[in-house]
Amino acid sequence: MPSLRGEQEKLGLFMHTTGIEADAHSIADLVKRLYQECSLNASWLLEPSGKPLFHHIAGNLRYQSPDQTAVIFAALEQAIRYGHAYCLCGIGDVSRIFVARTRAVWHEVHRMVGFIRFNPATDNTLVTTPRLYHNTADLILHKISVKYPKNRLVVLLADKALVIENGKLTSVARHEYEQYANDDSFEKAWDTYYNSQYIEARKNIRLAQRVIPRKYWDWLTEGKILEQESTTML
Amino acid sequence: METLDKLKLLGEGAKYDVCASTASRTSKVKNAAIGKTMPSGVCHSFTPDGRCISLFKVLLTNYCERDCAYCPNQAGRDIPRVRFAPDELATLFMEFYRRNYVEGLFLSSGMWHSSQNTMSETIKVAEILRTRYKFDGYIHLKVLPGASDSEVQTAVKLANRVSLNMEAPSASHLAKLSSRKNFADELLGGMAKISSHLSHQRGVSHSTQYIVGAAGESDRDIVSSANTLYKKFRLKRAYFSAFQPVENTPLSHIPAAPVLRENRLYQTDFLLRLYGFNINDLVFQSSGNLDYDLDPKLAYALYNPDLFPLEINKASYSNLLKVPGIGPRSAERIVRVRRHHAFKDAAELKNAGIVLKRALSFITVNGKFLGNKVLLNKPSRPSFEQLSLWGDSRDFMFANTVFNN
Repeated sequence: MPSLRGEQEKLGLFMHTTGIEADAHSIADLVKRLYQECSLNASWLLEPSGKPLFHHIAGNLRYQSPDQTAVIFAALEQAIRYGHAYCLCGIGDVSRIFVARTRAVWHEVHRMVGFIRFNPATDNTLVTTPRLYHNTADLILHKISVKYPKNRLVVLLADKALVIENGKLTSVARHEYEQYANDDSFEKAWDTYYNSQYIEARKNIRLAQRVIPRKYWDWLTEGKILEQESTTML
Repeated sequence: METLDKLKLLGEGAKYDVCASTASRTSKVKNAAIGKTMPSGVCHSFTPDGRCISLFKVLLTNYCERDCAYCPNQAGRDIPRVRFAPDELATLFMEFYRRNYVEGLFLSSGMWHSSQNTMSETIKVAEILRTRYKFDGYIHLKVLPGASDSEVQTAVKLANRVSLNMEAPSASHLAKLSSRKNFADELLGGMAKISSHLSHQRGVSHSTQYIVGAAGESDRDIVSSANTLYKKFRLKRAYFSAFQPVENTPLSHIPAAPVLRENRLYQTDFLLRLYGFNINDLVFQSSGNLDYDLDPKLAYALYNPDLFPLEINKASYSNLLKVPGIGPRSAERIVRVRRHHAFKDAAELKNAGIVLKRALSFITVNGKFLGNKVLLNKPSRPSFEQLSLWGDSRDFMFANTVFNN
């Protein structure tokens, strides 16, 4: 994913404003001030058409990158100058990065909802250790918990464990569930099923690698099968 | 036989069936203990051939009394025959689901004793999942040819999707594949039963599958058949499976159908379902097959040069969908953005998601034509090089696949 460089790293229009306390002002006030001080109409921020912008800002705040803030401000400026659709459809170069980052965050959530594997623990608890590149653990838990209304789901992160039960998210010490992280008793059943679905005449490792990037191969149990198949091609 | 050994045989028996999980907001179980059909399109893994694994796709049994010439489970073929007990299969599936290895169940079966006997066993699995395990996730049940009306009704009640494989587009084609399947009564009649019961069940859909390249059918035959089913029987989706010869079957001498042919059919199917094309828009060669060198949308554009170029800032949404390189999402973005901002250069269109390499010869941007005028005025197929099928790295679908024409 490209990031901003040089002049673009400065905050554009927002270089000329002083920082303000966000909690002390409503969006309506800010829209009014923007019009009075800069003659820019951002009334769409108060309408339903402005809501996706906040969704994208939230997505970008979860995207792990050193230029996170610069991209948000630069995209906001494009939205105010050229219209919200210009920004939200990713037409400008910075807007394109802005929209792509939200997409990357939700793509990780969608991918992990499919790829994570649970190990059963005690008391209807299911434990998993995802492979995350962005700040998405809580989103993943909320999304996947709808399939498990009677279970406690636990995601082990580097420094803690996130737990969701009955829609409520909490954080606990990682060591409480660490022992359940590496249960491979089901691996043989999965390998058997996985291999049964493979049509060797249609082998296409490049496509397989596109849909399961190599960075996940050492994390997924079938990664070793993909590695093996990619070696036999050479 | 051990459960894992059965899983190997019965999983392999189902691998040629094509399926995907779909979202449905309709719940089948009150106070569900586990399972949900939202969101859709979740893939839990991909095989080394790049196909998505989203469902637990197995046969209930590979015993079969039918003689379908393409099928590894056909009667008379010397293979180990096994079956899952309904309880056993339900338990195994729940173990996969609980651990989030699969998104739902796709259950098919060979025909064991009779279609009625097999359907009742299949339905039993779904009943165990819905009532004992209170599973509210995705279940796809295969309806076997010759299933009774009440069996179809029960299957539709329990499942989120049902399907009945057409396999071939007409009775004469089907006769080359099976001497025991009746096209009119069992297949079309089965479609009619499914369609009538679906009208009483919200959130349930049906699909079908064609085998491509085993019975001498043309692409026009398959597309026309699917189009009729979409209109007449409210079919949701048709799937196409390129024929792969299986040893010790009557069709083992027929070469494998190229995967490219399967993909062209899917592209054509998408044009009909999502792009507003009708069957008369499609371009077939004299053989009745699609042009495998060009994707069907590009073929349409070349065949109708009088419709192009379109001005990107003025063309309607439905006309934009006719332009190669513009899909529903990018067409929608164009329409949204140009309310406040006129597109001025190609880079903006690229950011809107248009595949410029394909689209530029068929559009103008603010009155300016940026494509190749010679090609547009005198379109000739040899002048066009098929640059990419999807315009992105999905070209990898063909990168290493062996074609046997």
